[in-house]
Amino acid sequence: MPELRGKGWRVLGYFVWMLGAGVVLDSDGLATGRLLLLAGVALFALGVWQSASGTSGAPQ
Amino acid sequence: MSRPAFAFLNLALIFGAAFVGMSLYWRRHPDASGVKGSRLISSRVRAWYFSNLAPFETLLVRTGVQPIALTYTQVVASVASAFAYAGGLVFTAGFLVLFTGTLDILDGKVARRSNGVSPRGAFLDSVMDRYAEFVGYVGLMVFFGTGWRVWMVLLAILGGTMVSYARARAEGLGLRCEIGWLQRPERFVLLGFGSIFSSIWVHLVGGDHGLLAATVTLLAVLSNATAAQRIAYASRSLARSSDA
Repeated sequence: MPELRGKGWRVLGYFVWMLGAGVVLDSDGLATGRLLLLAGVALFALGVWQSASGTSGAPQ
Repeated sequence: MSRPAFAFLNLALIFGAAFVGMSLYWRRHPDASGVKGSRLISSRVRAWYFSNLAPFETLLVRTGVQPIALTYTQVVASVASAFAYAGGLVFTAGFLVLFTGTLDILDGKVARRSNGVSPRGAFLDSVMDRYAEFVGYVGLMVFFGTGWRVWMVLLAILGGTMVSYARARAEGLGLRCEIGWLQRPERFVLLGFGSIFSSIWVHLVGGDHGLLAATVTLLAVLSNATAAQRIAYASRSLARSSDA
C-alpha cells in the first residue's frame, strides 16, 4: 500500500490509538486496549520513520 | 474504573496532535480558499483534515472500492456507535461518530475522483445519512434513559431531520439551500468530540456525563436554529422569485 506511506500510516496509527484509548477508558478490557495502543504507536512510528527517511512517495 | 492519568494523556494527545498537525500543514499550505468553510469549521481546518484523508482516498480509488460500499460502512459504524452509547461506552461511541463522519467525507471524495457520481449514489447517500444519524441518537436515548436529556435528544433528532428536509424540499423547488450554522459535518464534530471530552471529564473529575448532556442540548438548539434559518431563507427566496 504505497499510498499510505508516511502520513497515511501516521493517521491510521492515531485512529488505532484512539480506538485503544476507548477500550481502556470505557471497559475493563485492558489487554485488548493495550494491544490496540501498541499497534497504534507502531503504525505512527512507521509513518514518522518513512517521512523522516524520505521513503514516503505517495502524492499527499 | 477511573483512569485519570490515561484520560489526561489522551486529552493532551488530542490537542497536541491537532495543534502540531495543523501548524505544520498551514505553514506549507497557507491558502485554503479552494475549500468551502463554515462559521464553526473554517476552510483551513477542513483543508487540513482533507489532507489527512488524501492517502486513504487514493488507496480506495486505486483498489476500486465503490463509494456506495463506504456509505453502507458508514451506516454500520453508526449502528456500532449506537450500541456503544447504549452500553455506556461513551469515548468509543464518540470515536465511532467521528469515524462515521470521516466515511461520509470519503464516499463523496472517492465518487468524484473515480467518476462514480450518479443520481442513484447521491440519493442513496442522502437517505443512508439520515438513517445513520437517527440510529446514533437512538443509542444516546437508551444511554440517558429518562428525564430532560431524552427530550434534548428528541429535539436534536427533530432539528437534524428538519435541516435536511428543508434543504431537500428547497432543492426540489429549484433553490440551493446549503446555509446555516449546524450542517452535518458540524453535528459530527460536536457530538463526537462532546462525547470524547465528556468521557475524559468523567475520568478526571467524576460526575455523570453532564458535558455530553450539554453537547446534546447545544445540538438540539443549534440544529433547530439552522432549520429555521433555512426555512426563512427558502421562504424569502421563493417569495421573491414568484414576485418577479
